[in-house]
Amino acid sequence: MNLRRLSLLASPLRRRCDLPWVGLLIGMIVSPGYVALSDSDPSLVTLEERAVKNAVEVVADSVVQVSTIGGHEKLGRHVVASGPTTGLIISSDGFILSSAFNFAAEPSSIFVRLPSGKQVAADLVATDYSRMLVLLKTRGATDLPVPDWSENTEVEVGAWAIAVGRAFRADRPNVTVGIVGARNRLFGKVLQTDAAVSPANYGGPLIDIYGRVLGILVPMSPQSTSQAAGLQWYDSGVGFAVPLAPITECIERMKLGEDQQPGRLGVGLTKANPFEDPVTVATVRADSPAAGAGLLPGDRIVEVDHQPAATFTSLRYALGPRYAGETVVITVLRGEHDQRVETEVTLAGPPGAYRHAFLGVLPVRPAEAGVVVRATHKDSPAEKAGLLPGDHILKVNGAEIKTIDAAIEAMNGVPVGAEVVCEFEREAAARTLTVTTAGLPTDVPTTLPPTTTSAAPEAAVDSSKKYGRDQLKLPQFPNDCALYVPKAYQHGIQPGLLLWLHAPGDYDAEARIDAWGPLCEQYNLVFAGPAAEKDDRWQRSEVEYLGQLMVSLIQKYHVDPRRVVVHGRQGGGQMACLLGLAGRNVVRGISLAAAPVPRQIQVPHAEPSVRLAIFAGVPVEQSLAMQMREGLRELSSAGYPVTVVVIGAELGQLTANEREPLARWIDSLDHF
Amino acid sequence: MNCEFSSMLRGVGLVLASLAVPSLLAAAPNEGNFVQVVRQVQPKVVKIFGAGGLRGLEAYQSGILIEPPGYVLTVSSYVLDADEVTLVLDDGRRFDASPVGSDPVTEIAILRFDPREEPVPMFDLSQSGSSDVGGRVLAFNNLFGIATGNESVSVLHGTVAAVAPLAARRGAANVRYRGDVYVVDAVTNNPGAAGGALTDVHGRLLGLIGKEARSQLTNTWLNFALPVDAFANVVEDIVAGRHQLPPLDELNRPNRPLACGDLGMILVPDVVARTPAYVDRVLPDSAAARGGIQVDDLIVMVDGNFAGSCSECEALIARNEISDQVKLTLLRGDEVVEVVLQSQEQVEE
Repeated sequence: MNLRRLSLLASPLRRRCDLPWVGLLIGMIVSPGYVALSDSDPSLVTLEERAVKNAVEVVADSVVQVSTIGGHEKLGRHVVASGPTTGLIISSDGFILSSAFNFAAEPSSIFVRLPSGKQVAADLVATDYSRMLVLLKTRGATDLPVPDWSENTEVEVGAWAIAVGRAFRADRPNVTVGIVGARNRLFGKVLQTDAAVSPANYGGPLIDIYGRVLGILVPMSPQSTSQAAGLQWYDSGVGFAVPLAPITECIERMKLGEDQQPGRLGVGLTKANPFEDPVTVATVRADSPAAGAGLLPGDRIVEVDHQPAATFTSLRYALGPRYAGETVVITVLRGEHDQRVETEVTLAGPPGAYRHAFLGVLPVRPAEAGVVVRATHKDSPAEKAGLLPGDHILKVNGAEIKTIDAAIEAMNGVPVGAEVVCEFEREAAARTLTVTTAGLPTDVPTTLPPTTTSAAPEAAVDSSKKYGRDQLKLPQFPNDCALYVPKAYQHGIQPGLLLWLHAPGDYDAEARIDAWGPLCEQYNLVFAGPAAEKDDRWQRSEVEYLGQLMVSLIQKYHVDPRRVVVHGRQGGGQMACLLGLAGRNVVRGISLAAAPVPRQIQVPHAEPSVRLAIFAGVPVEQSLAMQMREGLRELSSAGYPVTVVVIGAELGQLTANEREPLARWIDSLDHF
Repeated sequence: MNCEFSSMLRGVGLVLASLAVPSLLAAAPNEGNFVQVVRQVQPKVVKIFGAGGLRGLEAYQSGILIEPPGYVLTVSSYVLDADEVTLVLDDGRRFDASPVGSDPVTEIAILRFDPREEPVPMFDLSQSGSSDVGGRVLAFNNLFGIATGNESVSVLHGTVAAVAPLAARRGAANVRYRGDVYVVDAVTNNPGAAGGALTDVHGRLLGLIGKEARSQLTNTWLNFALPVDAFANVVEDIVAGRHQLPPLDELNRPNRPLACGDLGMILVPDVVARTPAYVDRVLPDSAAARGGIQVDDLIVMVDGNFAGSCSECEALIARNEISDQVKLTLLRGDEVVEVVLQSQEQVEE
C-alpha cells in the first residue's frame, strides 16, 4: 500500500470529517508510547495501526452491546454463552441490526446499551432467515449515531477489513483486523474476511479502513441453515459479513415486522453436472409458485430476470440472494423445438407439509400388463366416480400410465381437490372420467380381493429360492435377524417387507413368526425380526444396522418398494420412527404399537416424492395414549397420513385381531 | 485442549517465518521492522520439555528468560510436575531447570537453572510495554511443539482485540484470575503456547501467553496474554523467596450474604433453565416496598451487572453483605427504572 495514502488515512481528512470530534480523537488515539518514535517519522506499521484505530472510532458509537434475559441454555449440542453480544445501529430512532445467532436461544427480554451508557429495552422486530440477521427496535431512544455504509461495488478483495464487536466490555469495542477475502460468497449473499469473526463480534459491523460499514458479521455455512451454522469456523480464518446495500428493501420490510425467508421456485431439478449441464425441471410441486406460473416438468431454465442462468450453479447465484415474495422472470425452453417461454414467478418461502392427492385406486399386482384396478378404496373419489375393478387405466391427466410408479408419479404433481382426467379401458372400450381428488386415506380397507389375477403361480416355480423360516446375519454387525419368507417368493412375485422391531427385553422371534407366518402367506410379506445388540434396549446407533438390513432384504427378495414397512412396539416403535423418518426414501410405512414418537426427533415435512404413511396402535392405557397422540398429531400436521387403531393389551403382543388390519394396511400401501 | 481442528490448522498457517515480512520493509527500509524485532525477541523465549506425553497431554510448553540470569517465567502446569525439566534455548543450548515457585491465581511459575556463567538473553520486566485495542502485536511461543533443538520458537502476528477482564473457564472450573488481559486476534493459545511472550512491534514485552481457556462470555476458546503488570510483583516475590499464597476466594465472600428475601421481594419460581428474574411478591413494610418495587418488575441488573436469570440475580445480590446497599435496574413495562435498596436490619441497627 502507498505510504502517502496511509498517512492521509491516519489524518483527520476522511469521509467523516464533518464530525467535529474526529480531530480530537486523533490526538487521543495515538498512544503516548508511540509518539516519540512515530510523530516525526512514523513507520508504516504505526500508520497502519493508527488508521485501524481511527476507523474503529468512526463507527464505535454505533456498535452497541446487547444483553438478553431468559431463553434456552442449549441449542442442540451447543451451549449458549451467557455473555453480551453486539448490534449495529442503523437508524437514529433505534433500529438495530444483529446476527440471528445472538437470539437463537429465544430470550424473553432484550436490552441495548446506548452510546450514552444508558440501558434501554428492545424488541426483536423481524428475522431474515436468508442472511441470518435480526432487526431490533429500542423502546424509545432518539438521535442515535448512524454509521456510513460502503456501497458493495466499492469493496475490493485485499482491502483492509476490520471486525468490530462489543462483547468483552460495554465501554469499549473489541477489534480484529484482516482483509476482504472474497465477495459474493454463499451464492451472492456475503463477503468473506480473514479477520477473526466469532461470538465476540457476531452482529457487529465489518468496516473498511475509513470506518464505513461493509456488512454485518454473522456465522454462516454453505452446508446448513441453522442459526448456529458456521460457528465452528470462528477461529479458522473464515468469517462472513452480510453487505447491506443489496438488502435495503428487505430491511424496510423487516421494519414492518415481516420475517424474511429465502425465495424458492418450488421445482425439483434432474440430477446433472451443476457447472455444465442444462437445468431441467424434473418435478413441479403442486402447491408451488412455479406450478402457478405454469412451469412444467421437462422445461429447461435458461434465464432469470433476463440474465443467463443455464446451469444449476448460475441458477443458485441468481436465486440465492432473493427473498420469498419477490418476483422474478424465469425463461425456459420447452418441448422438442425449444420454444422460449417467459413467465413471472413470485418466489415462495419454505415449503409446508405436502399433502398428496388420492384417487382411491388399489392396483392389481404385478402390473405386468398395465395398471388394472384391483379395488377402489371405500368412499374414495375413484369409487364415487364409478371406476370398477378390472378397469385398465391408460392415462392420468394425459400422462401415459404403464406402471404403478407412473400412476403415483402422475398423482405427485396434482393438488388435493383438483380435477383429474382419467382415461381407462373397460370391456375393450376406451372411457374417460373426471375425478376430483381427495387426501390420502387414514382408514384401513375392511376387505381386499386377492392381489394376483394373472399368471398361474405353478408355471414359474424356481425351487432354488428358499422360503419359510430363515436367518440373516450381516457380517459387519453383531445383530441376528430371524426371517420368514412366503412361498410366493418361489414364484417370483414381489413380496412386501415387514421389519419387526421387538420391544426392549422381549425378543421372541420364533413366536412372532408363528403368529405372522399365515399373514405373510396371505398378504405376500417377508417378515424380518432383527434382535437388538443389547437385549434390553435399542441403541440409536443401530439405525445404521437396520438401514443396511433393510436394503439387503429388499435386494435379496426383490421386495416391492411400495410396501416396505417398519413396525415396532414400545422402544422398538421409537426405533421404527427414527429409522422410518431417516430412511423415508425407502420406508413407505411406519407402524407403532404402544410407542410414542421420540421427543428428540424433528419431524421433517412430507414432500411430493416421499410417500410415507403411519399406522398407530394406540393402547387403552390413558397416559401412554395421550403421549402417543401428541406425536401422531405432529406427524399428521407434517403431512403424513396417520391411521389410528386402538389396541387392547398395552404391553403385550398384538392379538390376531390386531395383526390382521396391519397386514391389510401394508397390502394397500401401493394405492394412488 | 484447543481441539477445534480448524484452529490447529490456522495456528500453524499463521506462523510467520521471518521471510514473510520483507515485503513490508521494502517501502521504508530505514524504519524499525519486524525482522529485527523478531531476531531480538526470539532468543529470549525458550522451549520447555517436562512431564506429560500421555493421553493427549503435551509434554512441552513455552517460557521466557527474565532477569536476573538463571530464571525462566512460564505458566504452572502438569508439564512442570517433574523434579527437573529441560529448557532448550534458541541456539540449541540445553539446561536442566527446577521449579522455584508458582502462583495459583495468575498461574505463573518460575523455574531456575544454572547458566554456567554463559550469557543468556533476557527480558527486563521493569522495561515492559503496554498496548491497547487495535495495537499490533507479535506472539512468540512453541505452539504444537513445532520447534525443536536449535530452532527458534514460532512467531504469530496480530492485533489487540480487547483489553478486558478475564472471565474464563477450563472444563467446568473457572479460571481464578479475573483481572484484565490482552485478548488478541491471532490464534496464539494452542497446545504448547502457554508461557510464551506477547510483545508490541518494538519487541517490548506486553504479557505472558496464558493457558488454554474458554471465554465464559462467548463460550469460545480465548487467545489471550496476562499483562506484565498482573504478575511483575509476584515474580519479584517468588524470585526473592517471599511469595505467600494469596487468600482463597472464599475469604472475600460476605459473612452474611444478602438475599432477595432480606429485601422483602420474592422472585417467581425458578422452574426453567433460565427463568427471567420477575418479582412475584413484595412484602409489606420491606425495603423493596419502600423502594417502590412492584409485582411483575423484571430485575435486569444488580449493581450494574446483567442478571440473565433468577439464579444469576440471586447470586449477584448475594455478593453483598446483608447490610450493603444494592442497586437494582428494573424493567417495568417499557420503562427502565433504577432503585437502591437496603435491608431493614441495617436500618434497625
